[in-house]
Amino acid sequence: MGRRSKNKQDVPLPLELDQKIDGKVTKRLNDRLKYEAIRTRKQQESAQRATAQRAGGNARQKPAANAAGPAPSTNGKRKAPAVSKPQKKAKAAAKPAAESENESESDVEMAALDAPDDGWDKAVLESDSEGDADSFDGLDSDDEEAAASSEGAGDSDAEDEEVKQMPLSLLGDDSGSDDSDAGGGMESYDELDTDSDGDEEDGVTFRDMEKRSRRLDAAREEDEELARMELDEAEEVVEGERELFELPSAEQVEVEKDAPLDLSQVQLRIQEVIRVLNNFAQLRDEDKSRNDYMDQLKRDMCFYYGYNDFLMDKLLQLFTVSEAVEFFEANEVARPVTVRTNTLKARRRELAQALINRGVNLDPIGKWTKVGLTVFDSPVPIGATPEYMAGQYMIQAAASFLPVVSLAPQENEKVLDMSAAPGGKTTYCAALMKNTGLVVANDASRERSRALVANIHRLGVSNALVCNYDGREFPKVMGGFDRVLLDAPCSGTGVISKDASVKTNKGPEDFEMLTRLQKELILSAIDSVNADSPTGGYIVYSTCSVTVDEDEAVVDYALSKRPNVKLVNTELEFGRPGFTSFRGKSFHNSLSLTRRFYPHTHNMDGFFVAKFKKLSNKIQAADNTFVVPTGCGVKIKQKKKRAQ
Amino acid sequence: MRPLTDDETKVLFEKLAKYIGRNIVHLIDRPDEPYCFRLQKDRVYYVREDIMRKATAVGRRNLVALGVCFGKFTKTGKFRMHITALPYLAQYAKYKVWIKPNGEMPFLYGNHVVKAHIGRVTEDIPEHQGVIVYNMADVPLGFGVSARSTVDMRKVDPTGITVFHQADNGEYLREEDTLF
Amino acid sequence: MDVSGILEEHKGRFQPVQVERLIPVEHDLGCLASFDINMLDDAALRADAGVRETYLQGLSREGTQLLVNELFTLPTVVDEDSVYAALPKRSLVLPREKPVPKEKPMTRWEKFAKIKGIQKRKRGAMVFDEAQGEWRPRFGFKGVNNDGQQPWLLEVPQSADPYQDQYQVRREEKKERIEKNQRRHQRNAEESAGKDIGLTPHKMRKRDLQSALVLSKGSTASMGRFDAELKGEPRVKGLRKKRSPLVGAAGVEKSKSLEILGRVAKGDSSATVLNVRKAQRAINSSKRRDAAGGGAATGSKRKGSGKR
Repeated sequence: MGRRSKNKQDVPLPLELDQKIDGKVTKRLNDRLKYEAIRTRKQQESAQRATAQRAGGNARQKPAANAAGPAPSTNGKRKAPAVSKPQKKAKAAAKPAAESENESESDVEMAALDAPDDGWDKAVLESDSEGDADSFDGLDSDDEEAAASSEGAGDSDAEDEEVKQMPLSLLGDDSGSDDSDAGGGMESYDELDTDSDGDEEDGVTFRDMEKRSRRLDAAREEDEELARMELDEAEEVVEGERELFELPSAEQVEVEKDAPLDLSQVQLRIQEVIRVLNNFAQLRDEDKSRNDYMDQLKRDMCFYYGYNDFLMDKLLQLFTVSEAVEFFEANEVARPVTVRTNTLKARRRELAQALINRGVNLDPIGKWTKVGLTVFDSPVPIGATPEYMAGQYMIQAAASFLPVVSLAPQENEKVLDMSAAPGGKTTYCAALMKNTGLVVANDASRERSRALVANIHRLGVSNALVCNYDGREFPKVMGGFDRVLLDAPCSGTGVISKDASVKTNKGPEDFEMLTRLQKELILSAIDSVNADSPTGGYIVYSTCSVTVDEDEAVVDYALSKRPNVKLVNTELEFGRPGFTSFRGKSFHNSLSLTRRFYPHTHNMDGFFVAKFKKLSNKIQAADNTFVVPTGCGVKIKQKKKRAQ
Repeated sequence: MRPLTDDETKVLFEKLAKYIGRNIVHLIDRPDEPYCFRLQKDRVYYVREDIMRKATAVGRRNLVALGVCFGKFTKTGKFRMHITALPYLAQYAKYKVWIKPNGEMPFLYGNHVVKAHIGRVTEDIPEHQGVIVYNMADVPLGFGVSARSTVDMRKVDPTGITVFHQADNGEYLREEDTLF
Repeated sequence: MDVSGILEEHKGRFQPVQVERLIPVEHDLGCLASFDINMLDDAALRADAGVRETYLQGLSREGTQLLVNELFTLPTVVDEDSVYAALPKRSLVLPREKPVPKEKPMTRWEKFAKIKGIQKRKRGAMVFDEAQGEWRPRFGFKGVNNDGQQPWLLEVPQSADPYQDQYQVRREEKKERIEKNQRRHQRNAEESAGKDIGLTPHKMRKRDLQSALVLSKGSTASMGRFDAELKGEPRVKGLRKKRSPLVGAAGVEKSKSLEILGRVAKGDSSATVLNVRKAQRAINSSKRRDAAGGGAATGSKRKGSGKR
């Protein structure tokens, strides 16, 4: 069961490398809110104007695009997904690669699959952007609100398209089309046309075609002008509002504790506070300190996103305020499903072909892995296809490829995976080793190790040894490994999108307990490695948590306790470097060699990877004597104690 | 973990012989590296000898699995093949049946193979012999026992059962709790 | 008339009646046997068949002649046309087929009697019944102590309850006597049974109880696998199964597997490998039986080994 639940997690849309963090989400949110306010106002205005026109019998033109759409007053619900959509769309539109259009999507994929490795990479980009654009087209037609919002977001392409379509429907015979079309544009055309409806339908003659097109041009111009005006107006309005923003007083806070505000109001306030914080010198209230603003922000975000205070503090320490919001938003969205091809049984191209034949829509994850595929959508359950049962692939989060890629086990080595269940990483190791050597898969939980065995067998791994120990026992049970992978048990702050319960159920005592465990585990992992191994001597430490306590602090602890290891490059070409100092604590300089991954920047689970190289099996103790921890693959002669 | 007793070895070989016949020799006497059978709890594992040697360091209670599980001994002393043995059975299979794409899912849901689903068959299958089931792309799906000989299969009506289902890849999902 | 010629002729026709032996031959006329302990002629025995046969035949004839001579020395009785001789009692003792029975261990009474010097006095089975004027068995069917009817009159003792049924008292007393005797019999049997293995009856009982406990523990559907362990439960010391080593020498396991495979391939399921466990169990149980057996106390003889 454990396997299934963990498999569900998963994973990213095509990865964007080195994407700039610029608080896009925040900005979008702001824009959207502004836009909606304006639009409702406009609507009211236009309604008034329309009645006036009708009364006066004066045909005045009206802006088409912005007049319609229901006012988004769905305030009772959280709007996080809707908010994130325009962002994605903007991304897609921004991509230059999207210009190279292909007729059909499957064609693109086929081309991608047939192409050699270089071709793959190109195809990634192409189909990435196209995939995005496609899915959002779908959304446009489905979800009026989303469409409206995307227009408001300044997507000029989409607007153009809509305008272009209008004359067509005008020319059409179908009178019902007016009613069925939800766009307010239709209405405005009715108004602008001096002829009766019937007349218009009757025919477009060459004579009035010119007139009509001129009218259309004029209408468009006016539209644009109006849009500009609106924007300016909106700016003013918002600026006006901004001047007014004040932190709630202590009494108000008390009141809110009992009767919480509307979510949308809280969201607005978050935006405002962030804006103030970003430009603190100018926008601040002279009586309030920065801490006051931060406190209010924390309160609001805890309420809005549902985190507990402790975790909120931890995460806000980690990011700038605007980036934290991006992080929280990213946690509300599930990562795309990714699968890993089992190279012991299949090749990626053939597997992709087989899955496409089943109607699965997929793409390679990125150029950093040759075995990963992202599944966009699938008509069949992806965890129950015959290919899955035959062990040709494994559903695995993209982030959990990383530690294995970093570990890079070689053939005929002896490798230990300290907490292996449900076996994604173990089987990846075995596949890289081509079933030679030995992979020792350990997991402390008996229940989870059952899923581990199932996956190992399904994927046809025959060089595995599954055991059930507490990882801390390890150098005693077995030692002298060439490589050790420690995917430590952690708080799971990187995988909140998979398991939202983390938001509330992790307190300081959990962190204390987990970090202690992690520190003990990493020492056992280091002691289990044989430094004299001709090919290996590496340890990879990874967590699916983003907090510094569980990542850098643990690695730093290991470096201080075991001077016989050093950090080396993780060999992952993306990801952000780890912290070398954090809130007054400074870590070893080499910690910049570790890598961090975030859901909002890499579109995979939050992850941390550090790679050690063990230099010697002896530890130089304080008094300049050498101590050999047991189980390093070195035989130690022990003097027999004489019985007294 | 322990080696099989003579009796257990005999029971195991008798069962294996139903599927791969004399090819068991290739499992025991491998040119590449020595392999052996080991019993852990009631499961029989087929494992490389050097892995087995390293596994001796692991306590009996803590050892969950090693190498490839071939099946288990029942309480009455019979041997029951598991789907996990399929890669080896498929490699040395004596009698094979290929099923058409429309028969794949029914078989993977644990149903017997009916004649209508059969795409291709080995020529000389006798009745009640172990048969390995493949799909048309030669991917092994599971194994079973022939309900009739190849000759008699021709006479059966399309809905008649030709191969009795014993194990299939779907068991990785269906039986995950009991299989391991 | 000169008969010497005739005698000579007669002598030539018959073997001599007198036979000379170096060591006189012993006879047991009661079973018509004679025992000749003189040396045989080694050369004649090793000679070829004809010579040997004549030699052995001669030897037998002479032996028979001696026996017959001896028979004619016995006093004879002449009856009408026949002569009889009464054979003496035979003196030859044949060896026993069965071994001499072991001496039974003494009962408590025998020990006591020996210390006190009490002689066992044989009482005749029959007693003379003066009333009837005939001999009758001392006990049992038609015995004198069991006269069919009770005495028609019984004296009530001074101390006794006048309303007590004295006949009932007699019956109960008799029953008690019988029971007491049975108890003693049982005790003697137990003591003698444990004597061989040096155990007192108490220790024997303890041992039996423990083995019964072990048996009952293993008599559940799961062979006792899920039963909670009792406090201070005896550990069963069975025969340890001999297993092949966990990591054997290189190639040994392989050759053994190949051998078994060869048998399996031949379809030779009857000539299977010896089931060592089963054999050990059989040996073990027979040993136990021997150890506990002998004693009449356990009594029951197990027939066969039971199907397993």
